[in-house]
Amino acid sequence: MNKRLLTLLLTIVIVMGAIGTIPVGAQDDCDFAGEIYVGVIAPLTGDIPKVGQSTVEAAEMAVEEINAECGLEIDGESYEIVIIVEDNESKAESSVAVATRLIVEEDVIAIIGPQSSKQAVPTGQVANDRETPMISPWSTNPNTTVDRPWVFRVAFLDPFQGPVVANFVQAEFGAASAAVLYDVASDYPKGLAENFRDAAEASGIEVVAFESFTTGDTDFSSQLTTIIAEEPAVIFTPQYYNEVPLIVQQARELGFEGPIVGSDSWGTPDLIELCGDACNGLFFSTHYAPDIATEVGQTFINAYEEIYGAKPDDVAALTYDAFQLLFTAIEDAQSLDKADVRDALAGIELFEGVTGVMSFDEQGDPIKCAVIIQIKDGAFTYYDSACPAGFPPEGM
Amino acid sequence: MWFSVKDLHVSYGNIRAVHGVSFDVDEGEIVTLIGANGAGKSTILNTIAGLQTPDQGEIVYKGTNIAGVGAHNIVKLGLALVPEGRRIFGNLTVYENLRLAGFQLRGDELSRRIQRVYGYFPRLEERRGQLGDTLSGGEQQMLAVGRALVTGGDFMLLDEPSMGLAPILVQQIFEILAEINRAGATILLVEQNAHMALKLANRGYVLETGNIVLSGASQDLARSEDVRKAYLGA
Amino acid sequence: MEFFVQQFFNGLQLGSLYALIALGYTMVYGVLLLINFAHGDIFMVGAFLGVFGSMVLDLPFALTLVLAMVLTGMMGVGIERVAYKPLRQASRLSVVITALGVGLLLENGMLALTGADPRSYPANFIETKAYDSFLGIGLGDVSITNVKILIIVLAALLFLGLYTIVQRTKWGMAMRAISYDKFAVPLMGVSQDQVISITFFLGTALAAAGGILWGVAFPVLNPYMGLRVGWKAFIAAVVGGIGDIRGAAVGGLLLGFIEIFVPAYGKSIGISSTWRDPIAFGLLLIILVVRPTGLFGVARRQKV
Ligand SMILES: Nc1ncnc2c1ncn2[C@@H]1O[C@H](COP(=O)(O)OP(=O)(O)OP(=O)(O)O)[C@@H](O)[C@H]1O
Ligand SMILES: [Mg+2]
Repeated sequence: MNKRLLTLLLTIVIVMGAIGTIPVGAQDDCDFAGEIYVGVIAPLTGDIPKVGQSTVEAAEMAVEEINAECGLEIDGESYEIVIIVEDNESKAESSVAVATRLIVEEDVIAIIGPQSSKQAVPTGQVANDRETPMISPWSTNPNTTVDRPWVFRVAFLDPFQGPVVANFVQAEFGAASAAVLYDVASDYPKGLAENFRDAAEASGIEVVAFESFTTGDTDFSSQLTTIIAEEPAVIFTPQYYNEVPLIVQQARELGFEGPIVGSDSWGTPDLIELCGDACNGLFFSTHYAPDIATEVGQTFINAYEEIYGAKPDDVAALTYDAFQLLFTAIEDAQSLDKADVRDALAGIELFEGVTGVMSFDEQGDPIKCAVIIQIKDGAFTYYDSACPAGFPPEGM
Repeated sequence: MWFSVKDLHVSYGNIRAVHGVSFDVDEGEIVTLIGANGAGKSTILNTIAGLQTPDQGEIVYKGTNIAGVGAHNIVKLGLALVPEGRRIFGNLTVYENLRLAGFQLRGDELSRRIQRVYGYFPRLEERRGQLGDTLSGGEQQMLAVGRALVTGGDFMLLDEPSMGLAPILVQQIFEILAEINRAGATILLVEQNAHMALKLANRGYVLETGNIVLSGASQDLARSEDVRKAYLGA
Repeated sequence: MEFFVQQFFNGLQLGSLYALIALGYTMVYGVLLLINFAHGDIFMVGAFLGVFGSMVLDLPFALTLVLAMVLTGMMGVGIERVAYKPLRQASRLSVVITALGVGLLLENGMLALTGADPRSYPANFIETKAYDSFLGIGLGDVSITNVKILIIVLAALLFLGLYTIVQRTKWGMAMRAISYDKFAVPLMGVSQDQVISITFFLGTALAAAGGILWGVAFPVLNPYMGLRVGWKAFIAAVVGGIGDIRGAAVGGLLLGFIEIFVPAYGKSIGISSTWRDPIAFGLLLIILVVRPTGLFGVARRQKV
């Protein structure tokens, strides 16, 4: 109850703040020639207020940092960054409405957000129609960016993990064969399972069993017996944290001793507790790890923790990267014209962010490396990054 | 009085089935209640046995008023009803029906009583493992009476034990009732077959739409003009 | 061959669990003609009492099992007294709605009590071991664990215990008698309420045993776990012939085997495992079409 109250109060404070503009951390000793408005659309209220909170925290931090260095420099003049935060109540309609307002009334140069695909897909249409760059940090639905030259995202698409994990199991375990167990009634696992299969076969891994079940099942012994009879080197199962423990334990009970790997749907801490020892040592791919090893990553994580007292989650990391991408594009463009900024965004190559090195493809989706997490001694630990074939190019 | 019913009123919802019936039974007697269909005979027996709660009135058995006491507790007082339509458990064997009837009895008393039933009805012993549903109508009636013999002791209420039986079998059942009575049980018998009932019973009551209209010794009732016309088909 | 043997044991384990839960449905239906739609949720409570016994009280498996069975059994008796007894003369519909309501109450009560995070038993509750040989026969690649054996044997023992009670004891006779004809039961000196209470106790205690064994086999427990399992066990009971405990056992085993063997062999004849549920329930429907009263059921005598 208390926590709810707190969230509510926090939300009210944030929303009240959002009514005016928030010039964050402006330095007195900078001589600003003007302001650049950036719109932020976040679910401050609704069913995922935690996502909204992370968004605002990361956004304020990014802007504070850049303003502390006297903002962005264009043609020798310094410009202060000002964010305008709008709550979309975790609703598509509100999201569309506030996006329109930001573009028409506030004249923002770009929009960061919305986070969920549910809102990002329709809002992307508005941004594209009104020719305003939009970067959704978190959305994973392909439709957010498809055929919308003005819309970009920072998170990789779900299917992208298929090839990444296929590469990883080949490199890490020298796997020549693999089996897949997935929920055929759920889009995410089904898409990922098919992507993994295609990528694995393309890179010479034989997929010896491709077994499915349906949502809510708890007994996988039949499918696993079939899988084990085919003697695969690894089992890939892109399932959720409440299914993975059952799958892993049943596979072990039925005598499977090889590695079992998964995708970002594994990444809920409950998995570790439910699975116990059985999951120790296993790997899965994801967007971001809080103990990421890169310098950029560590700097961000430490600074964030210092300000907010908690490790940043994936929303915060991706949002922070979205801001850095926008700042890079504006400086590259040396222009406050939205079309120039868009072109600069599309042209960004090998940007090094918290969530890894990335470039944009022609759809505005990132080409980047995924993070491989190992479950080790009761914690998710950063193990490696796993990249699509040929990325990043040699020498990076 | 050993057993008496005083001013008994029973109704089903709005339907008043028995209004102000009084009668009594002395220890060792066979008393019969006769009356047309729907007169309220079964209602009276069911109420005595505790299956039905009276609206008003007393049922005094061995000095205590048992009106409103639950059926399974009344059984403990030694009062057993053979309900209308036999109501044996068709999914239980003959033995299990008898075993269940002795639910409240200890082992040796139970087997003694079951043996006694087998003595009266050797047919039941032969068919002890047979399911109730597969018994003939006559065998089912024997089992129904047998069950009451196991359950109860001193006071047996029988609701139309002759229903649907061939005359020979009716004869047989009635002989056994007489024998049970000689062995010490008091019997309250409801019958359509007034002729047989009055032959067996010491006394009788005639019931008409919830009221007692006639009573007396069996021979007198059998000779009564009204009874002859209405119930003896004469 | 090894593949078949392995799948056979997989099916036996799953079927044993369904059978344990189906028994409760069938017993309650037998005496009250009531489909206790809260039964799946009672199963869930049993599983969670297992968490309570093992995590909070730190009890070993056997004691946890007994404790959960007793407490759940008492809860079952309480539910009957409070929720169903006042409705004995009411329409079927009100009873069904009440049962669904009781189920919701249990689910949401548990949710409020423990939160939505899934639970599991402690690692030392039952430590899984695989056997090398079974009854002196080398197992090769077949993996049979102590968990499988425990579930199968315990379910079989509980069934036999229940069967003995129902067939051999006077309480069991009273239960069968009530299911045939409620009216005459009190005339035997049997308290109907007591028989009903005992029936609920046994049925819900078995659900608790099923819940704990389920939690050992599938250690992700949440307050909604009873919904699906409950429906499946109910279907198993109906297919077996609701009201007959042998039917519940056979129906449960049948459902378990179908659920395992359809995905195991379906592929070789071109049926993907997606079709498991449609095929499983299709087969069960066919059984019901051929035998509308279920495998062991007999048509109910029409009572006046
Ligand atoms: N359960 C019931 N609900 C409503 N009315 C009932 C019920 N049982 C009996 N009655 C009514 O009560 C009256 C007495 O019925 P009862 O069965 O006592 O008659 P009876 O004398 O035993 O008749 P019969 O010789 O046909 O058995 C009848 O009018 C009957 O319709
Ligand atoms: Mg009658």
